[in-house]
Amino acid sequence: LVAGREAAYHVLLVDLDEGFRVMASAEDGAEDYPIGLRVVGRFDAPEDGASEPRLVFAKESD
Amino acid sequence: MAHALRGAAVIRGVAESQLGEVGPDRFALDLVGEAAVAALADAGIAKGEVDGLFSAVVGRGMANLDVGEYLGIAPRYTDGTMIGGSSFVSHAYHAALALHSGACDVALIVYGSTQRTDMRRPGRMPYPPEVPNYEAPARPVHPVTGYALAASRHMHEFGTTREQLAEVAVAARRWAQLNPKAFKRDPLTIEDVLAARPVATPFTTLDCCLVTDGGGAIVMTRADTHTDSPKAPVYLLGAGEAHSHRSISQMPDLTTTAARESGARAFAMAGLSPSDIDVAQLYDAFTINPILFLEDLGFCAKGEGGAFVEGGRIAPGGALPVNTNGGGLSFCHPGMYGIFALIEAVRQIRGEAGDRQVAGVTTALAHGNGGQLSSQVTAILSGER
Repeated sequence: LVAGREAAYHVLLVDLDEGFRVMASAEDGAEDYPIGLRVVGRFDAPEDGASEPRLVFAKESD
Repeated sequence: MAHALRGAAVIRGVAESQLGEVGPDRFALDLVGEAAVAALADAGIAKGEVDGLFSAVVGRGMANLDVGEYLGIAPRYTDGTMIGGSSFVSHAYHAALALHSGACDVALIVYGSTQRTDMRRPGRMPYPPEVPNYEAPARPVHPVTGYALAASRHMHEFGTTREQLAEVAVAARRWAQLNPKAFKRDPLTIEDVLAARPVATPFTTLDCCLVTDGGGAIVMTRADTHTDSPKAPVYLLGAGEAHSHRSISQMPDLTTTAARESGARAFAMAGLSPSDIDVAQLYDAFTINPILFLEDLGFCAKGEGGAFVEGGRIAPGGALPVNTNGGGLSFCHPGMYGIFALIEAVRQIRGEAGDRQVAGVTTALAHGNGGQLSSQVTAILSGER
């Protein structure tokens, strides 16, 4: 959990089932991402001023 | 048979520039010059004899050209290896190789930064972003985010606690209280560290190194030259380097650094083991660093670093004195710290460390770290060959 200027946000390292690791964001508002949690990724549109889409992960549904 | 480089090169002079906050009228090259002049005086060697130049400066792609011009040195051997904060320990290794081969006769390793003052300069240009583009969308605040992720993983795998991380900061502060040059000397408790402002889980501000100004310089020669230098020589008995990744997402194992390789290489060259080390200077950019390096350099088993530092074991009076100048956490950290680990190791071996002097130091280890736990360089120094 990174203490941002306006609000704290998660930065994750995610080991993908495809066999490599990426740094990514977590879905806004998520409370906690314990190590070992299974997550599902999606690409969100770039934030203001950014050119790259954001890779965002959320907790995998049961 | 001993390694050919073992003890072949010696450190003859060391010095720091003004440290802390130097004011708006001084710039990085001023500190480079101040440290270089003082280190050469310490070595009793004239500037005109320097024919090997080693430097690295954050934000300066051609640091050696800047430094050489500023100092009036036109070296016949130059090495601008830039692998982050470990660069200067790497320079000492490379200088030993260059001296041993005859590529140069007097090596000057030098660094300076006004990182703290630069933050207050009007119209300052920020350093270029350190983050690889493919990590940037996740908005990591580097370098702290990378180290925080490694610390989180260490806590998860081995049960390392916040209190154990804080103990590293407290030990550094206790050493700093014995060092009049240290930037932070006020008392510090584990509770203070835990209650400080959160930066990146699990770190608070007091788990993070200082942001200061400062410079340092080291003069090296072959062991068989300049034997009339005023100070006793400090032999480079062993050195090793390794790097494993650039961005934290590509670190092969978040709980094991390339110090495992650099340390093994340095100990093998020296023909020594961790039990031979009297004091250790371990680059402490963040509190997780010494814990990882104590494990990876062989002072304790993997996963036991947190327990190792408990109870003041690395603090004054502890079984293994670590970062006896106060380290990057409390002494100084002007962007890159590695040269100060070497300088403190030399001071301890020479018996010049004042109130913080550890009794009976013969052999010291200085370990540099750079990037996101990316580059690791280990040097083993001794007053005896």
